Amino acid sequence: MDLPRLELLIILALPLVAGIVVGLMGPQRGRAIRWIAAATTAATLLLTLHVAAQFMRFNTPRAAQAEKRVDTPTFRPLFVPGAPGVTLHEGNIREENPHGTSWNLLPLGPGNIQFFIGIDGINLWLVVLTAVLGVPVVLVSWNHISVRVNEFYAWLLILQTAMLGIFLSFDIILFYVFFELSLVPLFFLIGIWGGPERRYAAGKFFIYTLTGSLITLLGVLGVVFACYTKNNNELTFSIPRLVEIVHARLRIPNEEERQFWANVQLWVFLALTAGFAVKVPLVPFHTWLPLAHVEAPTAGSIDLAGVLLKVGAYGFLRLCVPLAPDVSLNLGLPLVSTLAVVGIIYGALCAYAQDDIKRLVAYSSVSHLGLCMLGMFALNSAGISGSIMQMINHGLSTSGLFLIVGMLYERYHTRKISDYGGMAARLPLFGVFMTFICMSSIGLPGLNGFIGELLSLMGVFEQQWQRDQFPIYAVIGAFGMFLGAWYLMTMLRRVFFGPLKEPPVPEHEQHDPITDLTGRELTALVPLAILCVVVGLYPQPMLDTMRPDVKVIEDIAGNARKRVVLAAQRGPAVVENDRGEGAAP
Amino acid sequence: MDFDLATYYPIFIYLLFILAFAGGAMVAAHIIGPHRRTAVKLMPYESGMDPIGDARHRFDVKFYLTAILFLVFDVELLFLYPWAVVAYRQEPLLPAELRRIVFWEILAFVISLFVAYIYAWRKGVFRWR
Amino acid sequence: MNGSDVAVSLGGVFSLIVPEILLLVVACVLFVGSTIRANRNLWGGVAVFGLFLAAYALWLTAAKVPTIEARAENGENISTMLFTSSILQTRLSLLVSAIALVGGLVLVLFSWNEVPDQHAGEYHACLLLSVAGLMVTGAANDLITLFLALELISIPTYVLLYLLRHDRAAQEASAKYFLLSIFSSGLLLFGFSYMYGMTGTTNIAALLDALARDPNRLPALALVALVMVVAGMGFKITAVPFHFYAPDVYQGSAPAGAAFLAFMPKAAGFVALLLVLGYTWIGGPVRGLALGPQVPILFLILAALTMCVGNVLAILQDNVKRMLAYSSVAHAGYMLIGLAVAPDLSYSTGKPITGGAEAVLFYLVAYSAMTLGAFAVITLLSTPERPVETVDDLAGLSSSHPGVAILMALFLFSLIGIPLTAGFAGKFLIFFGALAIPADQVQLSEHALWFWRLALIGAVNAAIGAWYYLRIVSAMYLRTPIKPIEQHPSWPGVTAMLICAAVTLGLGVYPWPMVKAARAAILSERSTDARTEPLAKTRND
Repeated sequence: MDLPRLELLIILALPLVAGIVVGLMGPQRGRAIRWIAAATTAATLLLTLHVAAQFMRFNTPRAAQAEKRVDTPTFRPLFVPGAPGVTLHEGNIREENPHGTSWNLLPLGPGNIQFFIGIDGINLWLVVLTAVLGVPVVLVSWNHISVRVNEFYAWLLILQTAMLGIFLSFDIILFYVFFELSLVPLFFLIGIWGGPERRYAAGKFFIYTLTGSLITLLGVLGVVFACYTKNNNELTFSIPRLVEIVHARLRIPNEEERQFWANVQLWVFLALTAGFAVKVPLVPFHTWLPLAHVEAPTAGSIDLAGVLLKVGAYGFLRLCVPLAPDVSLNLGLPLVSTLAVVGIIYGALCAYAQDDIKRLVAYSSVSHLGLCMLGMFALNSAGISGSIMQMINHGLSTSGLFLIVGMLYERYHTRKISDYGGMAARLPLFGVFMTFICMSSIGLPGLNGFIGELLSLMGVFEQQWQRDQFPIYAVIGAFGMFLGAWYLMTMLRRVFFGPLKEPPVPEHEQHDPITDLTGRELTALVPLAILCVVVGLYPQPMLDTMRPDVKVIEDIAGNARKRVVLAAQRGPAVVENDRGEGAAP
Repeated sequence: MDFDLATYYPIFIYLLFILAFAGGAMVAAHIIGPHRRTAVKLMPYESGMDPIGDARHRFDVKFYLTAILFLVFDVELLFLYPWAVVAYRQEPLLPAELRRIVFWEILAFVISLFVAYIYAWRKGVFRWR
Repeated sequence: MNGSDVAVSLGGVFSLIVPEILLLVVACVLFVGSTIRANRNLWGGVAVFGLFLAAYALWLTAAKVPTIEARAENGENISTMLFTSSILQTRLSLLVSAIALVGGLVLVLFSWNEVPDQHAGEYHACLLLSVAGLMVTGAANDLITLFLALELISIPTYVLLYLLRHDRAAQEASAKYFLLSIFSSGLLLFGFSYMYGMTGTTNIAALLDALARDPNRLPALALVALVMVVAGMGFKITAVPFHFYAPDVYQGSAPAGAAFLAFMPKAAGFVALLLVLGYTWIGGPVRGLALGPQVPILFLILAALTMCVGNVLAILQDNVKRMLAYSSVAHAGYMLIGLAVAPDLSYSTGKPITGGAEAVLFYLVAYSAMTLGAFAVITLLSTPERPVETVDDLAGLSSSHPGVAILMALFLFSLIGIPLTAGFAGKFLIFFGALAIPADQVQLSEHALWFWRLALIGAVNAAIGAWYYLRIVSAMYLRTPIKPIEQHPSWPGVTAMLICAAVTLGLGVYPWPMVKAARAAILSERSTDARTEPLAKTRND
């Protein structure tokens, strides 16, 4: 097995193994546990960066391959363990069996569930983001978590594996397994180490997400079986292969087949959306989020906001759009865009109204993720790459915000904006970093947030579909950016500038003078800040890497567009067939 | 199989004997026995119970144990009759191959009854306390 | 049939039930021995020895006597054996025997210290008798054998429930269970008598074969038989509306007794349903619909009702045992989905897909492991002075008993259906089966739409279920103890718990061996083609 594949397996397994080891160590050996956790996350990060570097060698040939592709557009993951694999041969890609691996997990009659993981342009940066955020998450909990230390780091590391697994999976069931598995560690993280309302928050988070994801499971199985016919007797769980089959079947000009697939797509889209919309969260399903974010310990908030919210958006991108393209266009586009726009404005207004800094950041996530979804459902290259960039950037800047809020809370044990004032004078480094991260979150040109927001909005403006209403969405989205600046700046002004107002230091900690950022805290913050600048100034390598895969989704959407236009030209004369309802899973 | 009433004559005669004996004994007791007419003696006979009173009546659990043991050992022994009748006739009803199996089966049955008997005995069921 | 055939089949029968006979012998030893010495360690040891002896005998039998499927695959003519023998060695029977032995071992272990010294011998003897009953159930090929096997499970249960505890609640529980169980046996016999009346045979294979010969002209009596049999079994598997005794009985009896009830009758009921309604491959043509095309509809309604009632009522409970009783009702509902979809699955696919009846078997094992595990934890932590009754009694368990708490969390997450546990694999297979009508066959199956709806109901129910299991997890991990538990778990109990945990985790992480065994028990490659024909014919007219 060549190096990147092995590294991929290690990336996935290492946090899990370390988590189990740490969990068994007992709560007394806190120091050793913290160092093991830090070393594990650092090692994962290094391996991930190495994989990313390896992957970027394939940029040019992958782009070339995407250009001359004539067959059905589908994902082509690299570094798949157990597959004969893809090699770089004189600058060209040589691959055999791009849609699976030989590592079977569970044979189910005519098909197998496989241990099919890999890297492509869409998930690469999300994997990197997860690995990057792993390190500050451990550092920020260093002193903050003092009870049941072993359990805390065990759950944290297991969560790391689950999150990496979600992004790496190319088998639809494996994806689902990791997707649901991520609930358990976070439930404990929020429930045990969270704030005063933690039990309610943990329960609500768990039930909400589980309900959605169980319906997602039905959608997943529905699409698997819609692609399974007695004639070809091929049952596949591989996402690339499913995408391929769906498109092959959608091209069949048979009326009955068309009806059948129209229904299948509708139900599959709705079922998948049920799970992912909760996770993103789109607006009516967001009520678990502020609660969970606020009650979670800082580490939990970072993993939740930085990575887990992206899982929802990633699910839309990886499963919803490619597996139900026509409905994504017909129904998903207006529906999701509307919800996203509502989310942008609603999230921003709610954020402005908060007195709790953490809650403000939580609502800002609703707003930012709305923009991400809006960009994605522009369903064109700019929009989708903007959306992915927005995911990464939101991960970086929101995590930064949560980090700083967490550090502030550790010192003064309050998060109320009204308790603070002019803190920049008292804690200058805090002020610098907070201002910096807020700028990045607002989307100041030159910092990372700008790239994602700009590309997303460009995508929405460029949208060739339903041109008449789309500028409206784009305008509202842009207004959302403005609102973002408004509430973040207001918060910044009230907390860090103006006359000094320091909240009373809690009595039991008065012997410890309040200090500015410590070395450990800087270790957590500085890399994030550097990444914000790097991504903001030079996003080109990232965009290059994701381009071929973004193009896949764009092609899928393009084909769907043609079909829908064709159907619209034929008019509504299509006879409603009474088998209609019966054909939906 | 054609029905021949003649084969049942012994039973009919036996029946007559039973009736005659029972009736004879009652008549004889009535004539020969001493007569003391008390209120208790004039009550309808109900196995020693008071015939008038609440239908819900408590019995000592000993009666149940005896009844159950009776069922176990008496009624289950009925299984032995068909086997005993059939197994060793001159003109065999059971095929030869089955005889051994059925013998062991009956033996297992008797042994299991025996185990139950020992269990009941050890548990003190037969002690009338 | 001449005499020598009978002799051969009788002799064959005896060679097949050697493990069961050994269990009975050990049970006799225990019964008599318990009157001589009262010592729970001694008799527990003897019971474990008996189970291992039976396991060894089963191993030998399995190695020596080929299963009927193996015979068929070797090209032997199996029809005489199939249509005359009252006991068959099938792959199903071997699997069920293994389940029974492992389940019996777990039950012996975790009631080790629960049962008072003077009743230990009798208690374990009753347990071994039930295990033997479950083993015979799996092998039965005759209505009478099957009924006897089920009674061999039920009758010791009445005694066993009473032996563990003598308070009023326990008395009420065992009396209630006794009366309803007798009633259900009556219903079952009534149904069996109709089946016999329609066909003139009590041999299950022959009976199903006779009924399936012309599924379109089934006598109306078939429906009566079906309803009666399902109702009779419904009590054992606690399907709604036959579930009502379960909460009271579970709550009233000691945790070990409740665990026994959650495992033994349910396993027996599902296995018996698989056999009587012909879900398994025994070699005839059509199976699952032998008692009429109403089978899927009946199970569909039962499944939906059972899931919903079980889960919704479980939410309302504060008593852990009562909650687990309703949860066991709910899980019976998930398993019934498998029974509902199985008949349609078998014809709709050429290369058979996993799901339906195999999923039921798999789920049965998964369910048994996780429920027995949960009861094991409650048993271990209960003392007479401080019984674990309500959810509050488990509060703060993670700080006082971290090891036990993590195992309990594993069982509860498995009951919810979180990945990497047996519960997820089971639910996945059940839902998989419910959606497994291939796209080009959808119009051929009039039930497909209903199965999809059933799967949706199942998914919603799984989410509802999460709510009350999560309450226990929350209590254990997120709360401080109200009254700390001081009980130190004993080693037999811990062993039982670890066995359950190993099965729960093992089936979740790597379900394939069990799926393979269940698949082999339900179908062989040969049988599916045979099954396709008569139904396809039915569809065409």
